[in-house]
Amino acid sequence: MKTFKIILVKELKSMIRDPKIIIAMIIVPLILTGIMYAVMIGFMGQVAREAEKKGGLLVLVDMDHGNWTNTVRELLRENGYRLINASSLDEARRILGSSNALGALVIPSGFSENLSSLKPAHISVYTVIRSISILSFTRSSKVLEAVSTLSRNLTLIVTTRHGLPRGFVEKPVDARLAILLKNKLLETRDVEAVIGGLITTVIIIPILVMILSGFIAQLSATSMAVEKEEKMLETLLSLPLSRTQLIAAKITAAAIIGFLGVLVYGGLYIWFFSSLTTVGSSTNTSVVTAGISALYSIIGPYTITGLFIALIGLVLFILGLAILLSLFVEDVRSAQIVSGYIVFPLAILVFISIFIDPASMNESTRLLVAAIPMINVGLIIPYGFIGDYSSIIVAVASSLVYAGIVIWFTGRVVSTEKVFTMRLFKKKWRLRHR
Amino acid sequence: MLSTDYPVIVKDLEKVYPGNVHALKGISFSVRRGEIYGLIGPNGAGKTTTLRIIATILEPTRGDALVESYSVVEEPDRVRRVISYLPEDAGAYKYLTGLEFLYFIAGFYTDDQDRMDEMVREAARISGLGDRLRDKIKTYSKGMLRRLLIAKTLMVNPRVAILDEPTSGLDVINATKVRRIIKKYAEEKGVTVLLSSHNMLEVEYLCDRVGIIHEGRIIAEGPPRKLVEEYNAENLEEVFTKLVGEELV
Ligand SMILES: Nc1ncnc2c1ncn2[C@@H]1O[C@H](COP(=O)(O)OP(=O)(O)OP(=O)(O)O)[C@@H](O)[C@H]1O
Ligand SMILES: [Mg+2]
Repeated sequence: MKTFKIILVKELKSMIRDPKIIIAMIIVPLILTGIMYAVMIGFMGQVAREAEKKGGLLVLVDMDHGNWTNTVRELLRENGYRLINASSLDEARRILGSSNALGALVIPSGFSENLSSLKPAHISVYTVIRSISILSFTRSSKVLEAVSTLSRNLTLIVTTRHGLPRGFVEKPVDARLAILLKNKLLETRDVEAVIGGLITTVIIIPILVMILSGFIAQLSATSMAVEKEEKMLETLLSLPLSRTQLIAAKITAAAIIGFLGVLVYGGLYIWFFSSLTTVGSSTNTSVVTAGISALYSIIGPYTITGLFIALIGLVLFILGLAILLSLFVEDVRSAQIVSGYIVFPLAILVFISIFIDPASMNESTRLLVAAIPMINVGLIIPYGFIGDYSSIIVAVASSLVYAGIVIWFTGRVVSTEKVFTMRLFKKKWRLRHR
Repeated sequence: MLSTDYPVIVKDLEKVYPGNVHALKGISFSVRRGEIYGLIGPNGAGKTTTLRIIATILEPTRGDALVESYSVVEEPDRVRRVISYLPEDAGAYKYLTGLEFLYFIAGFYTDDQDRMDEMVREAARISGLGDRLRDKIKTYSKGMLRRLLIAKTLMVNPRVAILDEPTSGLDVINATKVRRIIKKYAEEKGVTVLLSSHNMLEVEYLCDRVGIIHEGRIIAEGPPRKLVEEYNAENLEEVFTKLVGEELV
């Protein structure tokens, strides 16, 4: 373990002292997240405020001239809308074009008559989309909201006049929701929040893994290229040291720094997304937590353990690949490009796993898919959910096998002269003149 | 030829690089214990290739080299324990200090802290870098870096020191310093030194014997003075031009 210790200490010292790494690991993520946060929070806040703001300007075209239209006017004013009257649809369109009105309401003739004789009536709604932006969509939805509030108010007025109880009218049938998560019963009013919680749990893992492996791939690829760039590789290879320990130490150092990076990035992103949801809507976090703990109780500790082991395998696999490729490049920059080449396709594989529904496949297909690198790790939770433990075993085992193959192969290459004579990007060999 | 008298024995070394570059075409020579042996020759002659094979960086296509009777083909791990190698184009970790770098290297040769301290003290003496050893290597000049690297190579007191162009890229003063260091160290410790150079003056000053290497073959061998006499020349440089000139014409 002597080689391992010496190399590890050297790696950590060099990485911590290298300003490039500090910048890449801490300052850049902080700045990026900060900017994203400021922009998104500012924007979402504005959308939320806009949506909360009651009222606005509406154009009203009255073709009915009946007694109920006045009630409509009063109700709209009570709800904070300002009204401009127009005598025709054409005039309404002119006004919409020249003002910042939210939209136009057209009350057709016969409206009052219908309501008085207890027949359903309708109002035509014209909304304006002035630009393709979330803000503009929020404004259109406010017009519809104006009408639905109006409709509720009118119902109340009509029904109370005819002596029906208020509560009954407001909600004749109330839905009490419960989710059957496999065989666990989860009572909730907010189905969307629970499903959102589940999907987030399933998606967040691949995302964090990709960030982590991207980091470590960069670091480990760089750490081999640094030996070449600092012109130490030849010296290193002539020293009495164990080459397997050399590789292991480099992987460990990259993993340590990489995990620190993920803590920084991961922490920032979790904080970032959680603050987005609290601004955007009033998601009930306890429901999400309930969803997650229900999920955990279904998939059970075996799946979680399996996932953990498979993740280790996946990280080692990416690391091994990164080091293997970086052996054949000449400098740090090409090493980073090369590690990008491997991380992106692998990231795509992980994301494919999000769209695969294991429940719709038969058993042999599931086993087969469980042996595809990267996808296998992404599918462990879905497999655990449907209780397909043999596929989980295949997924965990295959992720470890791939890692083993890559690391073994890398070790083989490092102990031959190929490190020295092979180039990934061939340069024409020229006589060196001094 | 006894390997107790000859720590380095090179036998019919051939090297073909990928792309069918025939860099070595059968090189044989032996280095006596305690002597400084120089490989000299023009650019591309095959000096670095030869030294890399002896230092176990490259594998020979044919032939073998024995270092302290260990074969570089069969037992490279054992060879690495008795040599210390300074590559032609070596660097050092720029974010470490000189001292940290020296301890880093020493750690591979011994577990004993006292022995390590001793090596590093020795390196400080050899390099003459003094307090600058406490600074990061990225602040060193080329000459300082080369002296640090010479020191790291010699401080471990190897059985065989392999130095590829030890004075390359140095000015006259630094080159002279480095030559003195090597000569003095080899005399004091009786270390066997195998070096390469294309500076004939350097070789005449330093080496007990030289091998002139040209296009992958050794075309002459012997003590510098004897070669000069043999070829009826003023100095090694003339010997060299005579030899190569004859071949080229
Ligand atoms: N990695 C390599 N791949 C292919 N050919 C190589 C490689 N390294 C060296 N060569 C070729 O092998 C021959 C010998 O090169 P070598 O570096 O041993 O020469 P040298 O005597 O050290 O020269 P110099 O004085 O320039 O350092 C040259 O023709 C060179 O082009
Ligand atoms: Mg050379």
